[in-house]
Formats: sequence, C-alpha cells, structure tokens
Amino acid sequence: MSSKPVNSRRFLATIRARLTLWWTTITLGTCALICTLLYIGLSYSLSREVDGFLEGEMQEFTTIVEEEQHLGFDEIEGGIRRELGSRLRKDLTFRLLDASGKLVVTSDTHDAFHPADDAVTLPKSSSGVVFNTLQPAGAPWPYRICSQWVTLADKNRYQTQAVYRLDHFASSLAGFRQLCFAAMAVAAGLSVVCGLVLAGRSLQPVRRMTDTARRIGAENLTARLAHSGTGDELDALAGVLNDMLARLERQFGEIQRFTADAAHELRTPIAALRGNMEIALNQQADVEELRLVIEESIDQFDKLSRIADDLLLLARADAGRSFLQTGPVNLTETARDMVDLYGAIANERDIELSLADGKPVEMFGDDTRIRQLLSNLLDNALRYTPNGGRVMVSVAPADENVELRVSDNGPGIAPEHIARIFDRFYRADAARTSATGGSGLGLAICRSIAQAHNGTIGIASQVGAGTEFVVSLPFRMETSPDSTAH
Amino acid sequence: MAAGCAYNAGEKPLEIGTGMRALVVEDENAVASFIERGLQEAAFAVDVAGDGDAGLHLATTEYYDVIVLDLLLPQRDGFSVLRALREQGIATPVICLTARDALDDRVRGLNLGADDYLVKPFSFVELLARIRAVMRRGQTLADNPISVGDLTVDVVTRAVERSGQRIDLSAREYALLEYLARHAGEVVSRTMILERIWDMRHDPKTNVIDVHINRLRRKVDAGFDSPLIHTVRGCGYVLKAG
Repeated sequence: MSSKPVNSRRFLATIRARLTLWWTTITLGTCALICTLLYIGLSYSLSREVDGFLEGEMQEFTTIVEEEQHLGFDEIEGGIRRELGSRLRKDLTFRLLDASGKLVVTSDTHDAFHPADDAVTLPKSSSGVVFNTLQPAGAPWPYRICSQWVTLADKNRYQTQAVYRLDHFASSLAGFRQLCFAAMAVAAGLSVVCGLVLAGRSLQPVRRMTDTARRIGAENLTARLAHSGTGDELDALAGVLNDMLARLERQFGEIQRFTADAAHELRTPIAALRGNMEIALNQQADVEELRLVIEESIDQFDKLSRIADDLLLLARADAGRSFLQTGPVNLTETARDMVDLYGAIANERDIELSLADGKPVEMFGDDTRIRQLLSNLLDNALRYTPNGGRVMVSVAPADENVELRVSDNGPGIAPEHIARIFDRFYRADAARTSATGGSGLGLAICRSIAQAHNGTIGIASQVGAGTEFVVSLPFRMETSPDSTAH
Repeated sequence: MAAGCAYNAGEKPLEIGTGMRALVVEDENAVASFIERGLQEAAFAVDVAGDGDAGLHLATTEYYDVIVLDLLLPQRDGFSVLRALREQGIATPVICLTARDALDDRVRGLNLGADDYLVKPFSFVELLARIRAVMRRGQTLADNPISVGDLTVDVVTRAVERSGQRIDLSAREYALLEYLARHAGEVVSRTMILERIWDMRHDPKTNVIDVHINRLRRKVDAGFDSPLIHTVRGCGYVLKAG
C-alpha cells in the first residue's frame, strides 16, 4: 500500500494536490479580478484623457475656422495642413462638414472617412460637443470623433470635427493586457510551488500519524501518536485518536482476560471429567463404582453446559442482539416464587429470607430472564450471608420504574471490589473458586438482563453491615429491538 | 451414558415403549444414534431420518406414536416439517429439539403445534420423561387418590397420608409431591420440576431442588423403613415403592 510509486492519478487524489489546486485557482481568480478592474480603470482614464485633448483641439479648430472663414475654405484647408504638417501628428484630423454632411475642409488628404460617411454627421438637433467612436470598414483602428455645430458668417450651419485615431490608445491597453497575463502566469507558477510546499509542510504531522497508526495492531496497542504540542487541530486529532487507542487497549485487554478466564473456567470441569474417567478406566472398579464415576461426570457436564449457556447469553448481549421474550410479568408473583424456591436453602441455614409486603406490581418484560436475575441475586446473597443472617427481597414502584431490592446483613463488600463486582469472572473473594462459589458470571448476567430491559443494576454495601442490590426496570421497555445493547 | 443414568442399579430398564413406534428426525449422527439406542432400550421400535424431507415422508406414510424432531435440519427445516404435518391433519405428538442460541424456537415450535421442546444438550432421561408425558396427554387422569406403596395422595382434597398417618405439607410441597406422584415410577428431572412448580425455564446453578426434595423427604419418608423418594444422580428423582 505504501511502497508503490505514486502515480499521477493517485497524486491528484491527495489532499496536498487538492489544496494546491484550490490555492492556485483562488490566486488566479484574485489576480484576474484585480487585472480586470485595473484594465477598466486604465481604459476609462485613457478615454477621458483622449476626449479632453480632442475637445481642446476641436475648439481650437472651430476658432480657426470662425476667424479665418473670410479667406475661404480652400485657404483654411491649406493653412491647417501646413500647420499640422509641422506638428507631425498623423493621428489627428480636422474636418469641416456642411449641414448636409458634405466634406468641406479636411486636414488629411487620406481621410479615413473620405469621401463621405453618414455616420460621422451630427444629428441636426444636437447642441454642444458630441463624442463618437467609429471603426470604418477595412480600417485597422477605431477612431474617436469630437463634433459640434457652428454657424458661420454665411448663416449656414457647419460641423467642426476633430478625429483621433486610437492606435496608441489600443496598443497601450494591449500592452497592459500582456503585462496582466504575464503577471498571472508568474502568480500561477508561484502558487503551485508555494501550495505544494505549504500543504506538504502542514500535512507533515498527518503523514507521521499515518506511519505510526500503520504500526499499531492488535498485538501492539501500546503505541501512541506523537503530540506536536502546538495545540492545533492535528494535535487535537492525535489526542482524540490516542484516547480511542487507550479505550481499545483496555477493552482488548478485557476481552483477552475474559477469554483466558473462560478457558480456565471450562478447563477445570474438563480436567475433572478426564481425571475421573481415566482412574475409573485403570482400576478394577465394580459396577457400582463405575456408576458413581459416570454420575459425577454428568454433574461436570451439567456445569460445563451451564457455563456455555451463560457465555452465550453474555455474547448475545455484547452483540446487541435482544435475547428477551417479552410479555406481561407479575413481578410480585415472580419474586414470591423465587423467595419460595430459595426459601428451602435459607431455611436449612437458619437464614431469614422474606419478601416485603406490598401491592402487586406488574410490568412488561421477560419473565424467564427476570426469574434468572432474581435467582442469581438470591443465590449470591445466600452464599455470602452467614448462618442465622437475614435476606430481604422487595418489589416496589419508583417513578417510571420498578425497583427490585435484594439486601442481606452479610459481611459486606469492600469498596475496592464494588467497582468491579459486575465484571465477568470477578470474584471479590480471591480464595473462592468455582468449587465453592458460582461461575463468576452471575452478576454480569444480572447486569446484562437489566440492561436488556433498558434498566440498571446498582449496589450499596458497607463492610460489616451488609449489601443491597437495587435493580431498576422500566415498567414498559422501549420497543426498539436493537436498544438492548449497553 | 443415557442408559447408565436412567435406571438405578440392578433395575430392569423402563420399557415404556413396548409396542410403540418412534421417529427420530435428526441430521447429526452422534445425537441421532444415542437417541435411537436409548429409545430401543426403552422398547421403542425406532426409525431415523437424516433430513427434513425424509422425515416428512416417513411421518406421512407410516404410523408413529411419537416424533422427535430437530428444528435445524438440512433441506427442509423442522418448522416446515411440523407445519406440513399439522396441515395434513397428522396429530402425532412431536417433541422439538432446539439449539441453545435459538431462543425464539420454543415459542415458534409450540405455536406450530409441537407438544414439547428440549434444548440441546439434554439428558436422555429428560427426553424419555417428556416422551412419556406427551404420549399420555389426553388419556384419562390417574385414579384418585394416587397410591404409591403405603402413600396416598388425594388430588381433590389435597390430603396426603402414609400408612394412615396424615402428613401436613405446604402448598408448594404438596405441588411437588403431587407432580412426583402423577409420574410415580418415572424419573422426573430437576428442570422439569423447576418448570412445573416454580415456572423457571433456566437452570439455576445450585442444588436448590435437592434441598426442596430433602424437606419433602423429611415429611414423607422420615420414620419409615423404606423410602419412597429416590434420587437418580445426575438426572432427577423418582417416587416409587420398594
């Protein structure tokens, strides 16, 4: 995955390439906008300058025409040509047209608009100075024309015009355009280079994180991502990922411990089975002794089978699959049955086991599983309560929930054990083994059953005073079938 | 193994199946063969079918007194066999076998017309007891009062006497004794007792039923030379004289 050469297609898929692309696009866009605005501004101010100049020249021409009209139009034309010839301005032409638009005087012998062009005549009604821009057919440049009406001594109206060829103007703008394109090309090149370098630098921590994460596997969950210490977004991401890794490591550890514990719990009865049978096989046992060995073996098989049941239930709960078969449950009746069932054991050991009086409580849930929960709690309470002690069961509504309480006046549980009391295979008393105690799964199963009902289980205990388990179940669990996971 | 646990030493096998025919529909050979052997020892004539189609074919063409039907079968599953049987009006008692992780199977099977169910792994005595129970279903009730040796249990007045002496029992103790008495001479398993008397469908990991039986023993057997309540280790209990 990492060793293959980076081909162009894959490169384009990288964040670095995409960031560079965006960066370049934005830079170019900004440049283009600025150039366009500058171009418009330049073009506008150049036009204003041309128009100002043109109007001045036109007024001067008008003055000449008005002052020299007594010499005749031919003389005026000759005079202007002489004067302009000395000014060497080839891009400026003066024209005088009569009212019908006929050319009377022109300073240019090669007048672009000669012999006549209707378009350059002024409308009759207009007064003051009028500007037009025209491009005659076949001419390489457009022309700017400034015109006005004058009335000469012969009482006729004439147009005076100053015509300016826009070649300098156009080439100035063209030069500016080229400059803009050159600037944009440079900007584009610079942004690609800068973009690649900057994106590469800022993504450097991501590459390091990728390398580290690649090394982390099930066997090596202890590795952590390096903090840059800058407090930036990537640092925060590294922190979040490290927290996740810590959780995974803890949970993976729990699974490993659980698997090891489960294997150990299964190995004990299997070893007993095998041992018993081998001895029976080797010795000269009579039928009665063999029968005894087989009966013991069946007991061990039962124990194995129960552990398998419990593990299966916990696995189903872990997978978030509902293992409940719900219906109406008469909780008081259920509790009475269980107190009655365990009453025999309590009686033998002179323990007072009683169900507190109360109104009948009904709820919606899985009766079989609630019986299992209660029987686990009672079994647990009776096991840890000394002879002559007391175990109390109560069923009572509490707000939205039903509270099932099983309390005893046994030795209590030390605070350091309470946090882990619902863990699988956890035994508060390390000396207890499966021979004297339960499988170590009872309370874990109680928790799973309570949680499957969207309920909770809690414990309050005081060393020397006793222990109370409180199971809180909603009267009616929510109906979503997948809500049974933790 | 099944036979070893079913009977007390020196006792003749319980030949409950004399003249009866049983069909076992089970694809796992190991399970099918132990059920076959056990049922043969109980004097059943046994046919075994390895898949659903063969099972349905046998069940519809031959007469059987009881069918033991695994729900997880190749080709045609047990539910489908059961449905087809009941649709054809064949009312032979059916006991379903289910896997542990298929908890809905019990309800589904009973809804489809199964008479009882057993969760694997099960004890053979349990299977035998349940077969006997479903075959007896619908027959007339046992005589009243039920007599086992010198013990009489009146199921109407709930009076219990032994050798003419009245025995006082709590309601639950009476229910337990009546259940044993109705199955006098038959092995009743701990799970059957838990199911019938305390409505418990899972097996608590304690000897709690033993304790209840011992309490009952103290009232029924104490002071008499020959006990009536016997423990069949690893399996359950039996109420019988001698």
